[in-house]
Amino acid sequence: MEGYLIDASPTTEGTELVLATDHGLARVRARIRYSAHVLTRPDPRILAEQIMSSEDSIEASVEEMLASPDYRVRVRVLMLASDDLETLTRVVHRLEASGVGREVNRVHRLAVALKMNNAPPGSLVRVESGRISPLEDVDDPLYETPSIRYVKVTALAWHGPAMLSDRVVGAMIRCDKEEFVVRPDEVVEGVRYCRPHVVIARFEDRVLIPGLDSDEWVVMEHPLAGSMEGVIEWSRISGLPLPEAAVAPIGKVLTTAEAAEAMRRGYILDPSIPRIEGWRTVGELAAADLAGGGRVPEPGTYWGLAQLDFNSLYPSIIVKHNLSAETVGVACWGGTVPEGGIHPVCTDKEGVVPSVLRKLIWRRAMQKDAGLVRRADAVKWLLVAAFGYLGYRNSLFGSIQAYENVTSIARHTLLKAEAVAEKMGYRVIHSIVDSIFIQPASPSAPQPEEVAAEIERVTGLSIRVESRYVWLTIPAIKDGLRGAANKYFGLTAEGQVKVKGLAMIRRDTPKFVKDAQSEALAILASARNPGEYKEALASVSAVFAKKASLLLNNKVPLTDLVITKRSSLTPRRVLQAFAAARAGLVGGVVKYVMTPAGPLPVTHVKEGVRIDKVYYLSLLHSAAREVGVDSFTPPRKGLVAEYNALTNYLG
Amino acid sequence: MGRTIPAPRPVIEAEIRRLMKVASALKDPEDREVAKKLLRCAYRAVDAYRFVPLSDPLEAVLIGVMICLARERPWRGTS
Repeated sequence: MEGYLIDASPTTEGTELVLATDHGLARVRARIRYSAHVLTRPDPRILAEQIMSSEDSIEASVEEMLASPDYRVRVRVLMLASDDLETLTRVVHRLEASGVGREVNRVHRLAVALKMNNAPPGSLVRVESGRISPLEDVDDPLYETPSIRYVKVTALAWHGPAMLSDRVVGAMIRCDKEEFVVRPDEVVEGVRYCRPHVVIARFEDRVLIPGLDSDEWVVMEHPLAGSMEGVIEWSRISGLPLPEAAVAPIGKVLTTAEAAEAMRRGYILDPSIPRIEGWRTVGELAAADLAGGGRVPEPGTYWGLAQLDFNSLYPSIIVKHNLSAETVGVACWGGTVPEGGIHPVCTDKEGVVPSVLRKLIWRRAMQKDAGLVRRADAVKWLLVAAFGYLGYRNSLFGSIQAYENVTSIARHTLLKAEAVAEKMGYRVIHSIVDSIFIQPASPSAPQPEEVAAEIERVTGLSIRVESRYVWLTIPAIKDGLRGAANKYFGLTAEGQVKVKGLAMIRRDTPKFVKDAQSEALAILASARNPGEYKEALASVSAVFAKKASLLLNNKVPLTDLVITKRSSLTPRRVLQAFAAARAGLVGGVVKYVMTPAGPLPVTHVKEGVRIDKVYYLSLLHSAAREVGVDSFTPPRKGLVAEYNALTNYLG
Repeated sequence: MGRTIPAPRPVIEAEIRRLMKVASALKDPEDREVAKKLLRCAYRAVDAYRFVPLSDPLEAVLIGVMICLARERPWRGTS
């Protein structure tokens, strides 16, 4: 049997594998070798002999491994292996309960086993006589896209994707290039029409649509990796089954990959031995405990800018300077403080984190070059999370000192980049963490690509020209004294509008406000010189005035006023707390419209509901300010009272 | 992530806001205007403290004010 591995689950008679084949799903059983490592009080050799004589299905041996946290001392560890996960777990529990041993390397057994068998989910495998074997190079980032057919199903209510307490009016089905809406009783038939291996649906969809949970396909949540290709990528990297990788926090994917690398090296992963920071003075702490570098820009519109971005700056620093929990701030021969760093680093062996990230950076670069954008994006999220996890003390390879070294070197790098740009005849308009925005100070300034090349030479870190802007506007923050560090919009030389941090791209902005800001930017995009920009601003003001008028005259559809916010409550928990569900807190999402009495969940909204116009006008006003319109023409007579209320509200 | 030191910008901005109140309380209107203008200049130094640790928010305000004064009336020094 050959096919793409989608899911796997241990059973008492081996591991059940779910494969995607040309003919649909196939379920087969295979013998997968699971392992467990136990640190024992008595000599592990004696225990190994005892276990071997009493348990037929367990193979016990003794391995020499490197002890945490620094991995410089060898210790003997009892290693147990079996095809029968249940028996293996029982033996480990018995050893722990009797106080003779403590399990270490307690990571996702199934994921590690699949990785060690070179058969991670998402890869093409053959199962023959109960043995699983790979049919492709699982480390190749340019693997052929797996032929796993999938369909996305979304239950619909009047306001869009339905929530648990909604009345379902239909469902949207998307498969391949087709997209159609069906009645609630036609959903399962509609899904069958697409012949999927996998159905992607929310928890709510599974509750609201009877028959969606079926053995005909594997049901999984919308992948956090952003796409099916992304979740396959995460599965291949971590060994997690696809449905688990779809909902796994990025940290879990990363940790599993790091654990596999550590176990390959014979490291003991022992969370009970913490990494403790050394004592330091308040001054030393204040000097080290700084975030990434960045400027407070002057608000305004700048012409002829270039944006230079370092490629994966933090991961590149981690790799270049060998920053890992077991290499920073520990005792070793030849440890030195890297340029721009704070804590000494051991360089006699590569750390686990740099080793994993080096492969991920290479993987992403190959995929980007080959145009495999979704895979590359999925890897990018792992790289982004890798830095945060380094500073998370409870992660496997977390170390505050390693984290501080990264931010310190990054700040040093940013200052160096600014200095190079200034030396080459540019003004630095703004810089933030891994980006700098530069403007030629004279007509003889070289091309931005030359500046990037020089920065790369000086810092030893890869940087590229991300964008060239015809103009770039940095809005002022509320007090008007300084520009927003994380908000800007501009027109690129290719004629694209690039937006960061504005209301129109924030999830919690109602469509009505998003539309107003989008229209405004479309008008500004026509400006090619300061004169045209000024004229365009006047038209933009009219856009907001028109939107305000529509709102005050009750001409904005209710669906355009729905506000969506993320809730930390998971659907399952909310289902348990029905009262919360009634309040609209479902699906990890809160959807409501604002009324004079406060937020009203969409599930309680009835026709003719009175909305809080002042609130929505204030949102419109903030969105207008972000694009440079401080005030827009008051609406027609008769609505002045409400407009005045807004003015009072805004102070 | 285990950062414990507050970010410098809000600390400096809080100091500027406090000093703005002092400026507003000055008796002479011209003094009030000049003081506020100088305090607004204090923002010039804020971002340097994302690269160098802040020992005292007043230090950032003073450096910003000194930069503004020097720019308005360049200091020529003595040799």
